[in-house]
Amino acid sequence: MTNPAQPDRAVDARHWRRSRHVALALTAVWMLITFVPPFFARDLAFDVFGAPFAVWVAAQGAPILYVVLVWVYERRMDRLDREHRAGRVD
Amino acid sequence: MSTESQPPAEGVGSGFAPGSVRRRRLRRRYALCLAGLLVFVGVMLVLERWGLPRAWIAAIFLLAPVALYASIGLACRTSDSTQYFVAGRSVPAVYNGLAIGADWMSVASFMGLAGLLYVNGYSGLAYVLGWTGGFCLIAFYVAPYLRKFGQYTIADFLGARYAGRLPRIIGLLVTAMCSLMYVVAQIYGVGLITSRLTGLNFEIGIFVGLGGVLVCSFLGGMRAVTWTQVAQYLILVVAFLVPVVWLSVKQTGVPLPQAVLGQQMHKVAERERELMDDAREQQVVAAFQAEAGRYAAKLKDVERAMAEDRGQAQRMLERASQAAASPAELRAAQRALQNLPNDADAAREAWTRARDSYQERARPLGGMPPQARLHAGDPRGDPAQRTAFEHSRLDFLALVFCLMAGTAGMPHILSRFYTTPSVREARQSATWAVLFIVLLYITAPALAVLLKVEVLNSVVGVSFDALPRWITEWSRVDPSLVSVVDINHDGLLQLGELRISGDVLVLAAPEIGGMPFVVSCLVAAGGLAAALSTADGLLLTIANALAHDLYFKIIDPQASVTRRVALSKVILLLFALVAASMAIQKPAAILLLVTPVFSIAAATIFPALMLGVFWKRANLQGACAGMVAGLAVTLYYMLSRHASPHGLASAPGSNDLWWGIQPASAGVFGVAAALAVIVIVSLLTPAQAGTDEFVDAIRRPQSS
Repeated sequence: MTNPAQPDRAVDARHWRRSRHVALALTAVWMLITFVPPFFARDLAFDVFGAPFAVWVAAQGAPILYVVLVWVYERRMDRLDREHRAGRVD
Repeated sequence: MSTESQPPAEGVGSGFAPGSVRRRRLRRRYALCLAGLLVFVGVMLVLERWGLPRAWIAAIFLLAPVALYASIGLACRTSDSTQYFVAGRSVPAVYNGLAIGADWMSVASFMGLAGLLYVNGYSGLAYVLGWTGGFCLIAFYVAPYLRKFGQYTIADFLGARYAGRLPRIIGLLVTAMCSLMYVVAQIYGVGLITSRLTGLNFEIGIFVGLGGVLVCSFLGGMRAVTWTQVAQYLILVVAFLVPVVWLSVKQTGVPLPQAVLGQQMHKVAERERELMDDAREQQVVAAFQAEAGRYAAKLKDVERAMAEDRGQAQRMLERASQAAASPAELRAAQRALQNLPNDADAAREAWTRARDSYQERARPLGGMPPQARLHAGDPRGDPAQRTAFEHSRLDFLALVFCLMAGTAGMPHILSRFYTTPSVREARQSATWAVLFIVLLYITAPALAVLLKVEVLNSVVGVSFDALPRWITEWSRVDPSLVSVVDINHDGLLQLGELRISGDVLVLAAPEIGGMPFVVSCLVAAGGLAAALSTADGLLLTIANALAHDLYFKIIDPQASVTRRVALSKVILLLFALVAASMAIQKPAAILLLVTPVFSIAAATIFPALMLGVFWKRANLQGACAGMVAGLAVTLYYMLSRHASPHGLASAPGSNDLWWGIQPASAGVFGVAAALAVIVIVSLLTPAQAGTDEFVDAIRRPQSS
């Protein structure tokens, strides 16, 4: 479809490297909020909005954060895609 | 290569129209649909006041939505292959998000989840985490790349990426297997709802519901299913929110149930402490303990106990016939004699089951853990308590992981991302989808706690002469769903004497909270929408896998479009009937049915998809071996550990769980095995030619 010219390759590679970084950074946040509070559920013995911390995170905090993470990913990738297009035009 | 430019195809039954006009029209139609729903519920509330009979209300609530779905299905009927298989790739992001929401939220989310949270407390939150967090994995690692690839099914991707028939075949087998198991749970839920709402028996209820499933998917494939699902999402979310908000206002005056979660949890904890010290509750526990002891004693000498039982039953019968008892008493005595176990093995099995079930109930709070308890056991207790805590904590994490990776490998959800016009909109639809899904998932824990407040305060302690209507009506549908027994003979209902299956709790919520009958019907209609939308998506996925991947791609590549679409419809009908006949057996609780499906999807499809995009070196041999290994490990652990029911501590093979992880979460081991095998086998075998170009093309953003 496209002529794999050298500069295009570099632009592609940069785009891929950056999108991988976005995914990895967001995955790190995702892991933190998913697996740490349940593991330390008993030790994190304080209340948030009246509910035990681990309960609140699993019931409301984490799901809401997931929405934010997916949204951030969408925005970042849109920007990377725009930059990619600009890189090609040059 | 894969990015075809699409003509702006048609939406809900409309002709060709430019994008913005079409989107405005869609918005107007669904706004009208939502407004219509609210007006409809309002009118029905008034009519109920005026004395419209319950049977009529139930029938209207059952038929009106199905008529709506059928008319959308009819308006969208199609035989065009892109329309039929991927809705013309013309579904805007928001609507794809709504459709994913409906596709995703099945009876397991709508009915099972809140019920589980009510019964199991904190450990049920693994499902909230898993079923929302999985969408992060979909969004980051799967959806955009699948859309860029731009074909029809998951097996398509596997077949193209690994350039071979075998990955395609494994992919389609797993797709069909997962979807079939999942659809059985949906149809079971449909049966429960219709039989409760109409008073028909369960079997007929299933087939009535099946008709509802078929009207959409049968006529218009993915296109009809998509536009029906958007309407179904609106119905199911309204139906779920109304009773929760109602309960929240009733108990606290605050119309935001999520905000009162903590406050009501404290109320539950307080009442739980009272009930644990309550003398009558302790009597109930002692009475169940005594029953369990009676069966344990019988089990010590089965032969003698059987002879005693037989003698006793015969004496009863003789006495009844001599004393000229009423025919009913006589029949009862005869039946008691006939129902005695025939041989020692049957007796042992029946008594073991009875002993275990009484043992199960001989615990405070009717066997439910306190609502706010985090994991079982105690990290500072004796060794047994410590192990229980460790295992319960690991099991929680394992379950969360399986559900998340399984979400990211669930074929019927993934194939939805083929339906958007562009990669960008595929990413946007992931955001919308997780937003619409989270809306319901953060409400479910609140519903569970509000219901518990209601049950602990208003249901516990009522007299057996004045049992609430929902208890009697649900136990008539099936005593395994709701049952009460006055075991300490005080004429009052204790918490320990009431048994509710989690599956019926949401459906019974309006009655438990004393709401009008119309709200009950609304919730049932919502449950039906959840079940039908998911069942439609699943059946379509199975049918497409077989018609497209097996027949068209492997058996007869010359097959015409009409033939493929027709074949897909026939397969759909067949699988619907198979699933219905399996659901009639009333297999198990809904969540027990669906959890293993997630483990299987997690261990097969997800690793192959993700490594396919993120690791160029993954090759045909690696992918096939990895998927097979993942499936084998998962099934081995699931089946070998499932063999003995829990509580049977004496039976060999029941206590050898790996790190206390339950069989349903076998996917953790499966995912690890699949990833390891894909990597090792790929490295041991030569790299595939052509992979680099394919993967680069998938990764490169769309040029538009």
